[in-house]
Amino acid sequence: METSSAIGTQPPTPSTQYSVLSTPYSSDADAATPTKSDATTTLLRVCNLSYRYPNGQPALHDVTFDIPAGESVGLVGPNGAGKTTLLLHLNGLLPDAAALPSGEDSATAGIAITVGGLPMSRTHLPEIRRQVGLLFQDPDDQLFCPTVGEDVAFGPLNLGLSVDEVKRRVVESLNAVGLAGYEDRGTQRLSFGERRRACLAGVLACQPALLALDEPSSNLDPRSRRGFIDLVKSLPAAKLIASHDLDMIVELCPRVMVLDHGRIQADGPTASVLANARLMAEHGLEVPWRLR
Amino acid sequence: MSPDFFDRFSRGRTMCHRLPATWKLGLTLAVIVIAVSLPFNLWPIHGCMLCLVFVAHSLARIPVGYLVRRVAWLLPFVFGLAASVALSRPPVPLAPAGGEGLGVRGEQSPTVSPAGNTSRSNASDKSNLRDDHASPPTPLPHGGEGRRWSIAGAIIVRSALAFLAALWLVHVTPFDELLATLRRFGVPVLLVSLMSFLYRYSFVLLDELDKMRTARRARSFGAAGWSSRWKTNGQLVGSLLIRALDRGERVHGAMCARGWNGEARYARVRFDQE
Repeated sequence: METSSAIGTQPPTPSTQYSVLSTPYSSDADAATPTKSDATTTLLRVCNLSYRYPNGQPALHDVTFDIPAGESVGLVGPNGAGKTTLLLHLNGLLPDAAALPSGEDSATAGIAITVGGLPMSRTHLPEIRRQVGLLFQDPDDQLFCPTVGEDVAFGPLNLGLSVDEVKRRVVESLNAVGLAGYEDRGTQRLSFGERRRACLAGVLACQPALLALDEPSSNLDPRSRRGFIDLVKSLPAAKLIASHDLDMIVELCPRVMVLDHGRIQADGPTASVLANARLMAEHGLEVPWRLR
Repeated sequence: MSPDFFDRFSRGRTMCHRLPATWKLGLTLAVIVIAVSLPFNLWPIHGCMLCLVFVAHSLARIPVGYLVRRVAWLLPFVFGLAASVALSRPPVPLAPAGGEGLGVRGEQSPTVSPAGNTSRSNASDKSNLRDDHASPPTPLPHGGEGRRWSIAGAIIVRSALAFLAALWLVHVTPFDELLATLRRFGVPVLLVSLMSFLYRYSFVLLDELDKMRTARRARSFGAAGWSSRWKTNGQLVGSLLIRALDRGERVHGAMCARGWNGEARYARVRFDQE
């Protein structure tokens, strides 16, 4: 019930509550009216995005932010805050494709999500899905082919690439995630850490400009977690990382957003936002060890 | 569930493993077709084929104990089917219409007059109807008791032959190669994709079932009676179904996220390992 009341009321102006939010990212008005330089560097723009689940439950309310090319942004918040729902929107998996506009022009008016200058519409959906690589929380949802090679090849084949190019990308992607030679390995024979890496390889094979990672370090042992963090750090693509692993966010992302009750509650430099004990406590989080 | 539950020996390097997958699939289909087409009383040929299949298994170095355990899964179904044939009572043929024979249950057959009146052994109706049903009664396939037992035996042997042949195929051919070969044999891409999903998610769903059963055991404290246990098992299966549906949606989302546009397609990219 707390959720619905929070959604139903006008969002508080975060900058009045937290000094850390007086950053270039914190003002909704600034985000909604891009400058000319923004237009050239902004990879992802989300503007006043709201969403309710089919059962009427509110999930996202007036979410506004943008991500420049190459930037890494953390997305933190308690369970049920709407992090996964937001990531699914970036890839066009929510709402249903039938609910998306079908316009072929690149007019962005009234469209909540723009990726690489392309408004989210049925026409641009294939290109947007190529540009936004989504890593799911559960690797078993993403590894649906019998062998690792086939699974990594799934995206490139759907892009219509030649078999030689697909093969090259598969080998490159598996090398990048440290799974060289795993092409013929059965997906059910991999350890959890290997499965997560194989999923990432499948995403990288499509050469996305933005990686949307949903809880990438969950259920990993410390060594696998460290390896995965180093791997993600080495990737040049922009990243939006939804996680409860705040130490990882501190390490990977210079900027962080706090999402709670479907709203962006704070958006700013990671060291400032996550060090704010009051803010963390209000949104069911803790100040990470690295910032104590 | 072990990740190599279905195809433990499929990555071996025996002569059988090195055969082209098309040959293996062709051989297996041939054995199955011959087994089900042979007249059921040709026992020597059935025996020869069983020997042949066992030799193929031994060439592929599949342990006999493993085969026996796998075949044991099949036996209850096959024995049930065989017993139903062997122990069934052949129906007594119906008497020609209007006759005074017995029905299946040994009752005198009623006849229906053209006017719609039901009567028993009415002489005039008999004469009217006899012309329409003058052909002799068709002999039923059931013979004597010995014949029924022969059929039951044939069901067991044929099923075992077909099962062992299929088992040999999946244990000498990696599953992805098998799917690619099925495509080459003209099996529709949708069916091949479904088989691929079935194979992949059998492990995931059975693992989930295992976890749920463990959780149930952890909280049942050994106190549950049979009725309660059956009730909980039913709930587990229902819960698994809902989880499977949820997972299906997530997998569909993951496919769409990587450019799938709803068109069933299957392409195997061969990676040559050094």
